[in-house]
Amino acid sequence: MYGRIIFNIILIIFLTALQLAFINNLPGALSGLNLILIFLLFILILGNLEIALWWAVGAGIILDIFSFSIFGFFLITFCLMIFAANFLLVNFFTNRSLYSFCILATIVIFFYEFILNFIRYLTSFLGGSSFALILNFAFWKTKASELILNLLLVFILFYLVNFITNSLKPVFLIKGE
Amino acid sequence: MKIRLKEKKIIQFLIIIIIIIFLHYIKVLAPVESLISQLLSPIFKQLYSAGLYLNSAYYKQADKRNLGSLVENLESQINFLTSENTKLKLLGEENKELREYLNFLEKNRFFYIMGNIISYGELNRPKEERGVITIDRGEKEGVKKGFAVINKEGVIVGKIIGAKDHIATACLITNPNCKIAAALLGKNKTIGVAEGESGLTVKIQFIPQTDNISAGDTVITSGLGEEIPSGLVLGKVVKINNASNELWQTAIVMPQADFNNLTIVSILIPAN
Repeated sequence: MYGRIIFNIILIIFLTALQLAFINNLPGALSGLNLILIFLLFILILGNLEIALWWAVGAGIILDIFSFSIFGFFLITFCLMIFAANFLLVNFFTNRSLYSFCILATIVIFFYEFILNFIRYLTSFLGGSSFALILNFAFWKTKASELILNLLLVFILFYLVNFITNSLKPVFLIKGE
Repeated sequence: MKIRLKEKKIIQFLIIIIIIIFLHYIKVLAPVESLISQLLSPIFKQLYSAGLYLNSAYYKQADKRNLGSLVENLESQINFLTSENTKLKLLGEENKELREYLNFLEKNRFFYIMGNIISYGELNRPKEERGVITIDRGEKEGVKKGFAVINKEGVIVGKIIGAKDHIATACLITNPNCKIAAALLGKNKTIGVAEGESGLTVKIQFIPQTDNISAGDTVITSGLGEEIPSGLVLGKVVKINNASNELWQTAIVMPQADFNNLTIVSILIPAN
């Protein structure tokens, strides 16, 4: 029990460190990868809501400690994202195929970007970033390339998980003779 | 029954989140946050260095494509030799960097704090505004908002925009949100406010038409703000937009600092 908790904490620390210190520093579009978001989604699908929420809280706290925006931003955003993804998973995307994974990931990324930019624009009235950025074509181009890259990560992780475990493989009930 | 259990858990998590945020704002969590940032900073530093290595290797590779096979052979030889001496070289470079810092800072009699960069960019910022670095020095070490950040040659690379107990964040001069009062070398007058453009260059707007500026002029900090000393090199003017029907001139400045190889920086502290 405790060993599992410690293992999860180490993984959360490693993942957040990898995102903040390594991925953000990668060249070109690679810096747009959102490893934490995709991992949270996979944990929700492969584990359960409770584990995913603990992961969201852990990753959110570490990111908030190292972030200089409002404390709680990542904590709230990740938890809201988990709630939304869980709602979609339970009510709409019940089959665990690659297609439903990709659509779910796209919706979650949109949802995350919406919250992120909504808060940014709220703070822009207090001297933060300009609202005009959303009208810029380059902004949407960057977002599109980030989405494609993250979906590529979903694709790779999906087949990796499929290769390692049977969690995502379909189960057929065969009527006995 | 199951739904109720789920709802109960969701409410529990919401309460946990509210408590964490509340404890942060009443500073109860401050020691824990300090401890976490101190403990994780070395891990961040190592990963940042690895990312920086990949980043420079990528750009090096991109440049290499333009050269002929001869250069490619030479490069591979250099790489072979470099890999043999990696450990020694890294130590040597770090030593040299530290010595250069000491020379520059002693010569100019600045108070300074040296720090390692532990991360580049923030996750919740758009790419255009990601020109920010996180340094493993914070308020407890004397770092405050507005202080200048310089590299080993004493060239300004950015400005502190936020500080916590043991970490601080600085915007790079190429970040559009980074604004620094600028002057031309040899003239004491402030010519305008330098701000980043597209994360690549620096732009100085609203320069009166009467001011004589030409390409190649060196731009320095004017020292208008109390926290940033005058005379720190920003870069060189590469382009001037001064149409006769315009009220103001705009100068495009190429930064002097190389942002792709930054690992250690110094934060300048005003003498008073």
